[in-house]
Amino acid sequence: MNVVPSGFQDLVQSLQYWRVFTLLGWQRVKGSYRRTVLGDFWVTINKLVHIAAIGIVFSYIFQSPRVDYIPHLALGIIFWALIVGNINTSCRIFVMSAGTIKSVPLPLHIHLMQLYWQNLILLGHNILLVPGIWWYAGIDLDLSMIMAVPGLLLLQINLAWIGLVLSIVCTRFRDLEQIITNLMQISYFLTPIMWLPERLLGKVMLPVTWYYWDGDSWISEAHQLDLIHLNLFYHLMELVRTPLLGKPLDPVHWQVAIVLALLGWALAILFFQRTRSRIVYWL
Amino acid sequence: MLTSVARSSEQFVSTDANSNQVGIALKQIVHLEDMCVDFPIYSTSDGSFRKQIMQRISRVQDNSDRIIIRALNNISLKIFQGERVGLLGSNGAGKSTLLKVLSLIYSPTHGRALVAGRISSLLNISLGIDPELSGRENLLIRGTMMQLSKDEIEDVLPEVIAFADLEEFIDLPMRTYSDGMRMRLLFSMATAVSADVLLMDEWLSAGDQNFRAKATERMQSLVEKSGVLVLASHSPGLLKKSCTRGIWLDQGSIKMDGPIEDVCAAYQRAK
Repeated sequence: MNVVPSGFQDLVQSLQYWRVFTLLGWQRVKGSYRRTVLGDFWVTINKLVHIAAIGIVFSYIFQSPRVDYIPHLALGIIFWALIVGNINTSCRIFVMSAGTIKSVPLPLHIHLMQLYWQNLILLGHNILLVPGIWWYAGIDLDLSMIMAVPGLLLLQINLAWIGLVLSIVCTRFRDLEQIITNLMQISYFLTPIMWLPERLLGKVMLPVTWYYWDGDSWISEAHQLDLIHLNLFYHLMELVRTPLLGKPLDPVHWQVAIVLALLGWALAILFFQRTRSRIVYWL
Repeated sequence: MLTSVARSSEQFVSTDANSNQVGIALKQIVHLEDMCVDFPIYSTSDGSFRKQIMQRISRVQDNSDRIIIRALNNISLKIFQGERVGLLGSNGAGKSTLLKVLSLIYSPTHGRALVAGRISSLLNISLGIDPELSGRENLLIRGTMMQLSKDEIEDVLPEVIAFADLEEFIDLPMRTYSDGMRMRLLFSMATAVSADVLLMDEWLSAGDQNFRAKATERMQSLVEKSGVLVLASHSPGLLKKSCTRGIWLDQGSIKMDGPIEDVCAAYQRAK
């Protein structure tokens, strides 16, 4: 006998329905550019124009050498589009798909999977600019660049739990979507995309005290924490950007991202398990 | 009113018992037990963060404008293999909500709802299709949503298009279709592969006489094999042609359950 799936079952089923979300994701991307001559290549062109405009203006304003600034900016903009596209749209994904949710029985999480797929397709279009960036900046190809692939996977895994939690909360509390949109706008400026992280690294420090138990007594130790490290988007961004720039990656970014993914998914699954059957009623 | 309900459903169960005695074991497909569906109605102020926060701060619990509507009230229902059930009732009686519970879209707020086997539902003909895509492409999406593989879709497609009688239009965008054409295509697809439970909402009226007759026949042959049909409508005439058992819903409760002729007659008398 079938019943409405629990949150966990819903997640598993949504992966089994991969043919549905890949097909619908493609349709959605194609749909936006239907009846245009260049079709979905407008995605790539739009990003190129965006990068060129900001790159030229801000390399003057910041007095940064363009060969350093533009590759950093370009990769930043490309991956930020993935982050912000997933997070902002996940806030209204169930409301957007309310018609389908209420008339076609599909796992709820499939609508999120479709969104992720759609944004990965858009990323695939923008990635076409990367060889151009390498050529422009004279960056040599290196085997370590491959690390951007697991980096992207870990970034996406993190975006997926954030998306799941936000999609649920924002369906119940409709004001949150506006708050998240504003927070993402602020995060765009707080994350080193338009500016180089070197400008802030080691300069804006937060004094913190670690306490630990050494067996007899509590020991306190004073530390200086780089403020930029509190920005989780900075870590997630570095996972993909640094390898593609051919630079060595600080392992701290991997550590933060892995811990975040584990904690986040544990929270998201518990939360979805509790709310799965209620979401349809909130639409 | 209540006694008549009890009697008619008893009668119905007893017919099942009779057929069991003859040796036909009927498999139960749908099982609803004390099932309720309550809809919370959130007004803008109630759903908002501001209100929630204000309540926390002021410690005043104000639930006065939180409205809950009981859409289905204490429904207990068993549907067995081969039954074709017509849901009858006026607007807002809970027909669509019941179909959504059976489609496993709404999970009951109280009680249990169990449905066996493969479910195929056609609840809203305008949803889940992309008007810019051709009929053929939309069928591909529909088929994928029905968990069919690409090959399986390719196999049924010619038959689906022929049944819908849309060969000339199948490669045109669906926005150019009339309501009737759209309904024909989606109906053909929803009934193309055998399902254990076929759920259809008020929509058959969009087709012309000819197609309606064809569709009724197709639904019957589909269900005769093994499944269950649940069809919602407020037209007793349509249900009499397609169904064997009638369930009359009134304000979320079952008012009458029995052979379709009897239920339709009682329904028409009450109107």
